[in-house]
Amino acid sequence: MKRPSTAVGRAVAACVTAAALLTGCGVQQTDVIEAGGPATIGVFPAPENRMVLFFLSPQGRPTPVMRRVGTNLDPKGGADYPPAGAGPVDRGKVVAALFAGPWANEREAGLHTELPPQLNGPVGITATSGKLILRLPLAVRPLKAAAVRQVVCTVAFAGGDGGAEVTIMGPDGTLPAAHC
Amino acid sequence: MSRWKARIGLRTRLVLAFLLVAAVSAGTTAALTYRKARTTILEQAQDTAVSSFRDRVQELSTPLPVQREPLQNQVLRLAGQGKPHPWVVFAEYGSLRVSSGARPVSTVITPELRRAALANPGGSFQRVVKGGDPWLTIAVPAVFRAGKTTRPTGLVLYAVMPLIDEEANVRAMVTAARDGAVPGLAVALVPALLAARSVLRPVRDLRKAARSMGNGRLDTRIQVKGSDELADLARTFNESAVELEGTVGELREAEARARRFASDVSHELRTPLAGMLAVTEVLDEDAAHLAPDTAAAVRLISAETGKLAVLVEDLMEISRFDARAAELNPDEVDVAQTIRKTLTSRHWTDPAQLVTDLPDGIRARLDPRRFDIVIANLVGNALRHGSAPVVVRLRTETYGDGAPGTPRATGVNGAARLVTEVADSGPGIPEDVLPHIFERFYKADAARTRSAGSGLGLAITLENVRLHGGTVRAANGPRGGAVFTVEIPLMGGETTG
Repeated sequence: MKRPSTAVGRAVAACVTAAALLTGCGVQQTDVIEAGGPATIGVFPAPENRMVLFFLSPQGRPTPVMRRVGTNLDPKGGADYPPAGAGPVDRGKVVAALFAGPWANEREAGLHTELPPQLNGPVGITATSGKLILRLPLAVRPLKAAAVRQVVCTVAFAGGDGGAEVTIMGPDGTLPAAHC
Repeated sequence: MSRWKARIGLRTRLVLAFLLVAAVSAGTTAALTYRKARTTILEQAQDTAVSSFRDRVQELSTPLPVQREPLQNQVLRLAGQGKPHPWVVFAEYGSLRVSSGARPVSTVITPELRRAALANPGGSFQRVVKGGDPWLTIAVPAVFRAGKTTRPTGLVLYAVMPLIDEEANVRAMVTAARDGAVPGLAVALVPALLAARSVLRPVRDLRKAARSMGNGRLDTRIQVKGSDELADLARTFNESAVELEGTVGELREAEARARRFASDVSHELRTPLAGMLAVTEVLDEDAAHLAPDTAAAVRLISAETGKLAVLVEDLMEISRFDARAAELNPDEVDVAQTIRKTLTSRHWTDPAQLVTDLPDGIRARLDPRRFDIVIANLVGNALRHGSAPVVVRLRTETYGDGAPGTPRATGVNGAARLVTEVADSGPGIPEDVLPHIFERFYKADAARTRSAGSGLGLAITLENVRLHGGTVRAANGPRGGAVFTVEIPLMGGETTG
């Protein structure tokens, strides 16, 4: 077989290839393929009656939780947060609730926080044309990135739709402005 | 490879090539069609499944954080709405794992799909083959509307759907392609054989024509059909045949002219020689009265003239054979008597010179004149060139019977031959001369330029024996001495005695 590349040889090779194509495959497995958008689901309570806090999933991703607020809907007086339209002062209470950590049912779902449990002082928030500045009574530089994201997202959603730019300031300095 | 090719005939190779082409084209077509069809089948199933799963998931609503019991109920409801096939639905949120199946966590969903579902704000799917079965796994992250944008809720829903039906469809296509290919190849065999035939017929014609030409029919021609390479070959063959026929014709004509010339010359010489012979006879008679020198010269002239006359007669005889004008006039004779008559008429009767072994009663159909020439030439040769005693033997043999020289009298019709042997007691014939001994004017001894005979005696003998359908051969006997054996088939002749 000095010349394997005869016409017959090539044809046989082609046949074998075709046969291999035909027989060697049923349904093949694939890589992950992106297909379309996500599913938009309904969440409640409705935007007027909720505050949105961001805790961390077991994988470390900021995950929103929604707590019902508003005295008119909660006759027991458990509400500490009037409807969003009531005024900007309520953001301080939202931040306080975030630092207070997840409730039992939220912890049950696997959520946790990276923030220190207590705030030893008041929280100051100023809003100017879509930019929010938050003053915290604690050192902000040692905060972990996930903790910072928790704060940024929570503040951006407090009385807004989460699109605002947030700057966090502490006694030890200012963190770079961030979006949720 | 070449040995392999040599063993397989042209027809087989043509048919195989045809089938190979058919198989390759059928295989390629089938493979491409199959791939396209498989892709279409799978894409249809996937697209339907992904979009319907997303639509179903969009009907959900949930508090955040997600609670186990409501989620469980919603997952169970989703599980009943699988399209195009039933699916198993899994939901993952934080550390919460809920499913519509027996296990809360799927074993089919890959970590890559989980990562993609959490990282990308969109749906994704993956085909997985697990335990030999193909599965379609779909991941759809759930988001909620926040103002103009949407935000992930952290909830991801998965659907796992078996693709067994699609697998079966795909396998069915392979089976169909295979089942279609075999009859297709069988059908392709018909045009393959026809094509091989159309190629091989001219080849066969050519072979027949070549054989026919080899057998001497130089006017053989091939019918030229079409204008392909084989037609070119046939045309070339025809042209070559014309050339060959012309050349051979010319050669034959030249040979015939040469023979005619020899015949004409001998004819022309005959008449003056006859006159000369008459004169030399008279001169011979008067030689006694001439002076001795003159007498010797006259006798020499007379002897040479006689030889010349014999030569001319022999030349004419051989010309007749060449012109195929020699005819056999057979007569039923007693062979022994015929031979004795020949010997007596030439005065070869001295027992010291000639020993005969001629059993009576062997009868055969022979031309007596020609047989006489054969015997006379052989015995004359033996007496001239060999030495006495010369032995003449006669016998019959059966064809296919043992070695020559083992006489066996038979009464069987047909399958017998007449064998006449003339042996002398001389030194024999040199081996290098034997093959040429029957050629015309062949001189056994190059130094002896003049011989008593014409140099045509044995050639004429050979022609005469051939005319009887027999053979003559020369050999040396076991005790020395040349042995000439004439064998003539006993056509219809009987041996009686």
